[in-house]
Amino acid sequence: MLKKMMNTLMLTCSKATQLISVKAYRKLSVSEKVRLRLHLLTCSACKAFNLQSTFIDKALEKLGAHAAHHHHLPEERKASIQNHITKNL
Amino acid sequence: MITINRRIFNMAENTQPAKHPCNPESWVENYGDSLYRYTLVRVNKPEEAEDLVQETFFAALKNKNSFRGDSSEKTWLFNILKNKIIDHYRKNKNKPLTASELSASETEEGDGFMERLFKNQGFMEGHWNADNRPGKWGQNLNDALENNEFLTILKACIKHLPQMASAVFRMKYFMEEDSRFICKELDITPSNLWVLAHRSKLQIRECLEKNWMDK
Repeated sequence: MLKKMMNTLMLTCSKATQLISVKAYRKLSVSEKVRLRLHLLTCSACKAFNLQSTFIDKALEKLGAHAAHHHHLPEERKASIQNHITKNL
Repeated sequence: MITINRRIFNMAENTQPAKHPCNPESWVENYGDSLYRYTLVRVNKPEEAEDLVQETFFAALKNKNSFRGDSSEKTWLFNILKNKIIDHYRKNKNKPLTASELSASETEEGDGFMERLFKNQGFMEGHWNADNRPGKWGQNLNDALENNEFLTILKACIKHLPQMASAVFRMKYFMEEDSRFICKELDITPSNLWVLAHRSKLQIRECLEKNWMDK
């Protein structure tokens, strides 16, 4: 009984973290938002997960924009592509 | 009067969209490296990136008559490349990892992964297992974003995701595609997508904590 009440009011960590991961992909409903906030007030582990998740999102954006400046298409590959283009122009 | 007319004439000419030229002969020299760098962070291996760049140039050459010059040659080539990369994710989504990838990866299929992280019975069911709770990561996280070693570790962590999860992750964060597009391309339901997104996040987080924070 107590467990059932807990479940409707409070999210488990497993559900809370799921909402944290998913909020980058879709908007959370009002009820989801409220329950997540409530959970984060009382759970330091999920609070840490929330911060880390936001940080990972930022880092991934950074990695996506990372130009890897020191990398070059290898010369042999360049030559063979160039060769094909010149032949087929 | 004549000068005014000429000015108006010139203005009219300037508002015409300039047609961009198409010079396949200098594609490799002009765009080879930038296409390659773009691909390199989006796939697992340098050879895959090389192949995708080559396929892009060949496809562009074959279809060069469809280049209308409305956008620059570079934009056009990048669009072809992006489609090739998404195709590549789609083709690889169900490919099992090779033995060496598997031994390097922390991939756990099925419920094993979630059961390790969260209690699966008792009053505290669904709450973190004590050994796998997220730890504190300290204050200066933003410094890490400028740190090449950190970015290398992050890239390795993504590499070790199961194929389908990494396809989702890369389409979301590197190709900036929306959920509907990702579901359509990878032929999965939205709830599949949420599960994959969540497991990937948990796995990346844990991988970073193990390999970067503990340093």
